[in-house]
Amino acid sequence: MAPRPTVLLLTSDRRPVLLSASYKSPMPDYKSELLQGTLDLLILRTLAANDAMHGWGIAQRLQQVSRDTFAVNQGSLYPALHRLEAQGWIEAEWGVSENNRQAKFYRLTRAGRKQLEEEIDYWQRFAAAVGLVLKSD
Amino acid sequence: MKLPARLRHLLRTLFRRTEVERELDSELQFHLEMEAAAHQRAGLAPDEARLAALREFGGVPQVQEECRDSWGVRFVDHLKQDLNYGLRGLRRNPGFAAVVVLTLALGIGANTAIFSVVQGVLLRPLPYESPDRLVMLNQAAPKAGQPFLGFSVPDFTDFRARNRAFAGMAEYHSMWFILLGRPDPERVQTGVVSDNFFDLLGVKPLLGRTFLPGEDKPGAAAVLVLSYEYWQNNFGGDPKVVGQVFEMNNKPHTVVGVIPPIPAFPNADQVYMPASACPFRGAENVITSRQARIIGNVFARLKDGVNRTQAADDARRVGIELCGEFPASYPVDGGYSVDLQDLARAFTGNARAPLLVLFVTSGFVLLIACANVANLALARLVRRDRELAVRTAMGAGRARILRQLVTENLLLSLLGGGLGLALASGGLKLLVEYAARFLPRANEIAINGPVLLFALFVSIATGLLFGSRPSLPAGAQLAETLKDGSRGSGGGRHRLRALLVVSQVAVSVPLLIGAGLAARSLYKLQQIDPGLQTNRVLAARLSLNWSRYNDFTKRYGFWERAMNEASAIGGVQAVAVSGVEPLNGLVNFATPFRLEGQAPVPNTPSPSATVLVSSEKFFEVIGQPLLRGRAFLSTDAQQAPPVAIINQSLASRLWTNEDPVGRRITFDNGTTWTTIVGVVANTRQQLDAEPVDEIHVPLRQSAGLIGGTVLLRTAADPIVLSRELREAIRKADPQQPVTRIETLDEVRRNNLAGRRLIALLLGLFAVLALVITAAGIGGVLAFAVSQRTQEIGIRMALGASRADVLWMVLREGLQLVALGLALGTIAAFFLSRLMTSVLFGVEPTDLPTFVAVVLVLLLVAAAACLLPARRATAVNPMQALRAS
Repeated sequence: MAPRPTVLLLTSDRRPVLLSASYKSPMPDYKSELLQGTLDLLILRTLAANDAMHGWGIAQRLQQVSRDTFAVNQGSLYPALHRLEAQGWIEAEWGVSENNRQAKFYRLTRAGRKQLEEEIDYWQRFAAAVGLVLKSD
Repeated sequence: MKLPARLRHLLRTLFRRTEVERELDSELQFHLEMEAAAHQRAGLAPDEARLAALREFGGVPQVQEECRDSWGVRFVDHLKQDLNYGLRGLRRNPGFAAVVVLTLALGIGANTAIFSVVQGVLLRPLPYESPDRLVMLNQAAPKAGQPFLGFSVPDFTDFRARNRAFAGMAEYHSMWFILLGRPDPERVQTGVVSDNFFDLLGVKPLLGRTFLPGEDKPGAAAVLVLSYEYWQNNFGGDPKVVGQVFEMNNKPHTVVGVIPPIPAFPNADQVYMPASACPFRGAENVITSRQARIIGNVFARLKDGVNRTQAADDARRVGIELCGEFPASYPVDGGYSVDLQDLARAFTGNARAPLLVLFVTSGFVLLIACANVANLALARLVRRDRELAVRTAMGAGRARILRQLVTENLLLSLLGGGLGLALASGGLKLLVEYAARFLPRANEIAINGPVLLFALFVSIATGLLFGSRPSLPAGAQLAETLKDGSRGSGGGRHRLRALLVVSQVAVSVPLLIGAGLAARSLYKLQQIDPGLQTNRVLAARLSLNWSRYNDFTKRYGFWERAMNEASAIGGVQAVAVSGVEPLNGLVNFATPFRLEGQAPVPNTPSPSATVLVSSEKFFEVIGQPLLRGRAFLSTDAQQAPPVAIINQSLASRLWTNEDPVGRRITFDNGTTWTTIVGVVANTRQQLDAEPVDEIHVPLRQSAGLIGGTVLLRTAADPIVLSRELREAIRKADPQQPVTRIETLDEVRRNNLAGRRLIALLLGLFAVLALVITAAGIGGVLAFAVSQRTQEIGIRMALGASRADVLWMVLREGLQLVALGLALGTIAAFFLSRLMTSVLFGVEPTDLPTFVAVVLVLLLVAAAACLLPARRATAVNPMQALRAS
């Protein structure tokens, strides 16, 4: 995944909030890069817990689990999914959805699972470090 | 086997693009439908639900673009776009494309052709095992005029036994013999070698075997190994040839094997036999005589861990030992020395310098061509200013535009490279055919892998080079350029183009000077007096059958018959026979002798000279002047007292202040004495070498020649009599094949064939360079004129005459040329030194050549400037002023 910028927006109750994605602009946008990184992590995590899901299902799940904090602009989900697929961390297969439509289902690959573990580890350390800095005077 | 997921995805995106695009569409559509359905369930009307879904989704095309970006194959898309665009642009400008591709093709083609020669001859390692460990030994007595002494059998045996640096040594010399047992008797060039020759080189037999240890000892069975070419050409590649028996030199020889193709060095041998089978080499007196240096070449392989310097020292040590033990046999005061040469170097020695000169020159031609193409590309860029400005305004980054331009340039240069490669392979065939005579390893020259890589590399480098500095409009210039009626920024670009022209002229100067120097060297060589008259002389080379002509009477009888038959041909003024073909470039081995009245000094070697056998009219036929005494007469017969004629070189060396006529010398230490009866002028066997000491003995008093040349002096053009000469020889002996017939003029020309080729190629490059440079100058000036039409119109309206305008344009052009000439001449002054080894009789800083080149360039440049200048004078001031 892309190297992480060290900008984070915090709400007053100390929970990180992600801003809406912005479309690709000529100037590098720290916020969109940050979002890119965490979005990848969230997708991987979602797929780790479920067998195969299509794009819309992932979006719904993300909304559900995060209790609406992550109101991701839905369009930005798909570039992320495609990127993960190109990198070989998720693989896709066309199947029939719950309402009998053709849909593209994604599942985690073994490499993806490994990558997820590494990322989780990183995030936990990162969050702990930031927490320490914020706590000090 | 399932490919890794990444690779599969990549391949699918590259090759099944339409499918992948369709899938993307469906996927996004599915999402939108699901979202719309969810909204509907929440109570919205269908079309409102759809709108809400779209709103939340964001722009569909943008998302699609981002997905496409994430696939990682953007560069392929861009490449396809750029190529398409570039091709369309070229189709709209076919003239530009044609000129550029052709110019590049000529430059790249020339480079590729020369590189394939360099690669085949110089760079490729020899097809032997560990060829960098192979060397050639050489004994020399340079002060006695003998750079290559050769080795005698005792020499070779001692070197082999006493050295400490070599893992193995093999001898080699080449002779021709008659092979019987085929439908016709065949003359075969034979390599006589030691038993380990092929093992030493690492040549494994294609069929059968090579020689076994012990097969070169006296008394061993006579065996033969065939060369690949001989096997293919004369036996049709028949594998049953192994085991066949042929008669050579009165002995049956069994064919034991065939070897794969190897380089024709030192000679193009058709068969190989072990040393014991050669009647010369196996003769008792040759095996024991230390001074009979019959072995022409000695090959050796360095021991592991020994380098060439150590080996050379060791060889020298052995030489010094032998000098000490056998002082009479080693010409110490002739500067006797032993040296080593890397085998590859020995192969290609003479070819190295000229090939490198040609290679550098072809590089210059390519640079000049690139400059021209760069000029053209810049001119075209000016016309595209508008287009590029629009693209920049619409958001294309500099990188994107540059990538576009680079792709277009590479497209052109690769096209040029492809065409150049085709030109090179065509030209190469001709080149190799012509060069095979004097270029070693010529049969290994081909368009192979490294050459293709080279062509590709040069094409790409050229494309990058000539496209390297386009100046793009930016900032305030952008707005200006977009406005109507702008002319585009000419200033900086014009300077760049002028700079290119200056560099073209500067690079042409050393090139032209190189060509001029080579041409002058060739001319000087052709003017050299070889000491004989080569016009109107026909020469037929013959080799007699050993076994049939096995004594003096038979041999002399043949030559006498041949001479009589030849004299009867109409138009023949005189006939002679000689052992050596004049101007053939070969030098015989030196034979020692002793002067009368000089007691042999125990520890010094005796004087020596090359001994040549000549019939009575020989000097008359080839026009070698007799300086003193007399020529041979028919009274100098076999039983009469032995006589000899020496050349001026030997006379001045041994009888500086006296008349050698009447003096006596002995070849056999006093048993018989030969009287010197005449002195002739010097001749050169090689045009660019010094004359050698020669002693001529009469044909009647020799052992009879087994190989010789029949020479005719004719009244008219000699070549018309070749059929009659062949007929005359057939009458003397119907079974005698003639090796070749040619006029001495032809022989002399062939002597210079190599130099002629170099001068020709350099001349060709020079002409190319001139043409390209002239086109470049003309192009830049024409463009400058077209940009300044308004200015010219104003000047003319204000009273400038046509002549003034003409001079104005000419002056601008000539200024550039003058600058280029100055720079180029200085560069040439330093660079031409590198050509010294290739030149003959001409200094690298030869003033007439420099002056001539400067004048030629000025003339050509002036002519090139004239056309645009004249166009400038044809400008109609009213029209020019009205045009915006």
